[in-house]
Amino acid sequence: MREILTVKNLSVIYKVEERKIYALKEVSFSLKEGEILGVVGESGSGKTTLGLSILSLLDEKAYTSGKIIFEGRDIFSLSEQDLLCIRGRKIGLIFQEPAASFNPVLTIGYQFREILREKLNLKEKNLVSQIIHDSFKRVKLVEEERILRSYPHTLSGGQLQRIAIAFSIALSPLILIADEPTSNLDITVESQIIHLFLRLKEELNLSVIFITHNLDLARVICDRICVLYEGEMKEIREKEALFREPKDPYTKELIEAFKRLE
Amino acid sequence: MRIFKELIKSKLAMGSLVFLSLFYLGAIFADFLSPYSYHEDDIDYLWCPPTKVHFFDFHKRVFFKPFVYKYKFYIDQYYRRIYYEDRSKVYPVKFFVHGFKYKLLGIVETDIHLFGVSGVKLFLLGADSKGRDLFSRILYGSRVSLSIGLIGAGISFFIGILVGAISGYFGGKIDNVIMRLVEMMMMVPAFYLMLALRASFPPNLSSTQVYLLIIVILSFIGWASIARVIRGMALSLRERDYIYAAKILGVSDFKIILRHIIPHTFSYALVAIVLSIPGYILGEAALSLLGLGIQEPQASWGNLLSSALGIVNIKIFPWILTPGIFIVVSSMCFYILGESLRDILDPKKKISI
Amino acid sequence: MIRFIGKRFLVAIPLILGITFITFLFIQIAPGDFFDKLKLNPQVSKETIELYREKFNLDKPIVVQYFFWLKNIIKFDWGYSFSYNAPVIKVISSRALNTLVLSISVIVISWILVIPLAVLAVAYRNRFMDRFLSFFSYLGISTPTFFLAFLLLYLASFSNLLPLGGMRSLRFDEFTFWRKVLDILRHLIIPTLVLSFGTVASLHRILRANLLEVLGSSYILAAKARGLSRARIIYIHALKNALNPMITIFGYQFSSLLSGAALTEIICGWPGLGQVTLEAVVSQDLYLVMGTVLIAAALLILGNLGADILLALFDPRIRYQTNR
Repeated sequence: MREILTVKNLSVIYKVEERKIYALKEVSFSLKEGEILGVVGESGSGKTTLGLSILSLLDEKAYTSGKIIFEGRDIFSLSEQDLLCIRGRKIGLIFQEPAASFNPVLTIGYQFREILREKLNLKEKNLVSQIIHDSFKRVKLVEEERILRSYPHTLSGGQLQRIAIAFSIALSPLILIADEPTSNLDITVESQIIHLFLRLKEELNLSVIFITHNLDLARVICDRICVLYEGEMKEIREKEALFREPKDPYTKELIEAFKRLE
Repeated sequence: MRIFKELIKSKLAMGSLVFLSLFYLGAIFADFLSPYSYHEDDIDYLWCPPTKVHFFDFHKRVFFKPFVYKYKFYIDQYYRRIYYEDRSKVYPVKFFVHGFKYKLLGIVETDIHLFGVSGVKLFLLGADSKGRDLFSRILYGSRVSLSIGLIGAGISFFIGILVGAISGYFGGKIDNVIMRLVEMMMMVPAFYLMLALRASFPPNLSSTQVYLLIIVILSFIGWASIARVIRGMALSLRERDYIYAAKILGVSDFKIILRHIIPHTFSYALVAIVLSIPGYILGEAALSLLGLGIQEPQASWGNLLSSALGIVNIKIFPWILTPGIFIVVSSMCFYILGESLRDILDPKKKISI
Repeated sequence: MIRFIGKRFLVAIPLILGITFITFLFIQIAPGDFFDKLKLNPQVSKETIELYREKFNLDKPIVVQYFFWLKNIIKFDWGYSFSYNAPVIKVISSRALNTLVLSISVIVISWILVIPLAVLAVAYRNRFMDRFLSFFSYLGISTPTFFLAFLLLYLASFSNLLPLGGMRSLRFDEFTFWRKVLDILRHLIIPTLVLSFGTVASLHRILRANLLEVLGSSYILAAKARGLSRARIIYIHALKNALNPMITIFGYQFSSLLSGAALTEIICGWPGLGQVTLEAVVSQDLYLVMGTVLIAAALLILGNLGADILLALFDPRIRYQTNR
């Protein structure tokens, strides 16, 4: 499988009152086409920063060094114009808190149509409705009419996360970055979303970077797993290999901790 | 205190504090700083423009010493006075001179003034329609304008905090009734209420009576908004554990309000007081401007501007707008100070009283 | 929704009653009355004054008088203005219209100005433009309207471009219709500018703060991640959320405009409610004062009601709450 995203020596530094704080330190890895790569770490390990860096969505106050190569170009060297082409269209991002990723004063329908219009340049009503319908079907959302007319705060977390995924796949991206997509959902809903991810990977040949703090979850869904601790990448291996013979001490601790939970 | 240390960090806030202190000091020591009394008029100098202070006169061989010339005038075709300097004689500006008698700080009788000229008049900021020195009148006027601001705000606060705390603490019907009342007060346009209240008293009152009346009117209008804010805080405060504890221990409601609720509203109250003072200064200025406030010959920044109502005057005698600048500057300082205080006391910054 | 409006109306009625009663009380308590002036006029006999008194019920106790007034108001008889020698309604209606015109033009101009200015401030956040605009907004809220009016009139006196007050030029009646409109607009400029300056100043600070807060929220980040353009994010997503909480300000804006407009009207000579109220109060023209206060209170309540309705329309979250 070829590599469609390569991260080389990525460091993200924040300057706080004369001190330098490393959110990410010299992180390097590649995402292979069609795989689900898990990024596992506890809070503060830099997982979310990693996700945001790939789309160059970091705060102005952050200093970055290193490269992120996508389609032959370094993301950090791209102009705002080029970045707009990539965001959403080629690389999508799903957030942890589904309710917080929608504009509260606009209907779901408006926001969906807006994305299709702006990103895919679609103006024809029929075409737009078709795509929306297909996306909803893929994420197994029913009551399409009602949802499109609703405002975000009237829908449940599970529904919203599905809608977020629908938004993302409607644009047919090559890569999907999912930042703790199920952490704020109930267990039953969580398993549905996980199954959805696995199905999407099959049906659309989607490459996914799945960020989570839950090692067990990663084990279920990912092909390879990368372990992050305090901004540093400790280990990256095929998942079974990781569990059988963890090389890094922190990875060992993590596995032990999850074993104890069982 | 911690607050003061934080305050010093902000240059803007410190600047405002310095300016305000200067203004208030100017008000307290108005007699000392003014070369003339506020009612000292002079027919020879009606509408005299600001006196130019010179430092060099080669003919008379004066260098580096401040002095003025005598101002004479002639009447032009429009029957207006045109003033010009008579350079025949030099009148030096002296410091710590003797002038009109007054009581320093109301206690010590003296007649020393910061600066003055003998023989001619020195109008730093020009003279008004009666030949009175605008600079002196502004200083005396600041006494009224600035003090009304503080006192008015203080009284509104006192009433507002009490009403708000009671309303928020007791909740229920009492809260409802009081809040309806507060809303009613807030809805009435302040200006109209001010006029109506002023009109219910005879138009000719002595200046002291008017002064007190204005304070009463402004406080009457102002307490409502503070009450609302304090009531909101009281509502949330009364759910706290230590309040329940106090109640169980049998502490009377009154004491709870006094000792527990109100002190915790101080930080917000302080910010709100400072931010509301300009409103009182402006209110007094508006009333006096319209002739319903401080009357002549007493001065207040508002009534000093009343001659500007005849718009022609502004064009010919632009210096009469100077009191307005003082109003603007002092208002700005209060706003800047208030906002800085609010930023400091913001709970998100984790500094509390 | 209708129940919502109905409830507000119910609340409004005791409010108006309260305000008008208090005003009535204050005017009556004031020593002396309008007839003092008439009494000084030797041509007016005592009997005439007594007749006037009786006709207008001025010899009865205050509360009774108030009820008579209330009764008449409902019948659309707002009493008689002694100083204008005309029915109160006639005097007030034209004046009220003028104040309304001024208020509306101020609201329109200030909102047109504040939105791009706030966006500008946020786009150049903490740089020169932002600080410059902040300074101006401090200036705007600190400058008393009357002072600004004086300044602008002073500046205007240097050229012939703008008229120095009033609402109509001398030869107004000779103008064609369009020329008349233009003339009134010319006279509207200075008072509108004066009031707009302060309004834009206070609105700017709020809008800027709201915008900054909104721009820091997750859904804006999500919109960015989805690749929406910066312009779209600021002007549609951020603005809509930032403006929503400001809709209630409309009501209070109306209130402070009525207050502030009065003083500006007086100085600029714009014949509106403020001017007439001042005259009425000074001459203790009872029914005229009552009329102006009533109109002012009514306009206010309408303004607040309008603001609440607008808020419910624009913020879907509030709408759902009121439906329960």
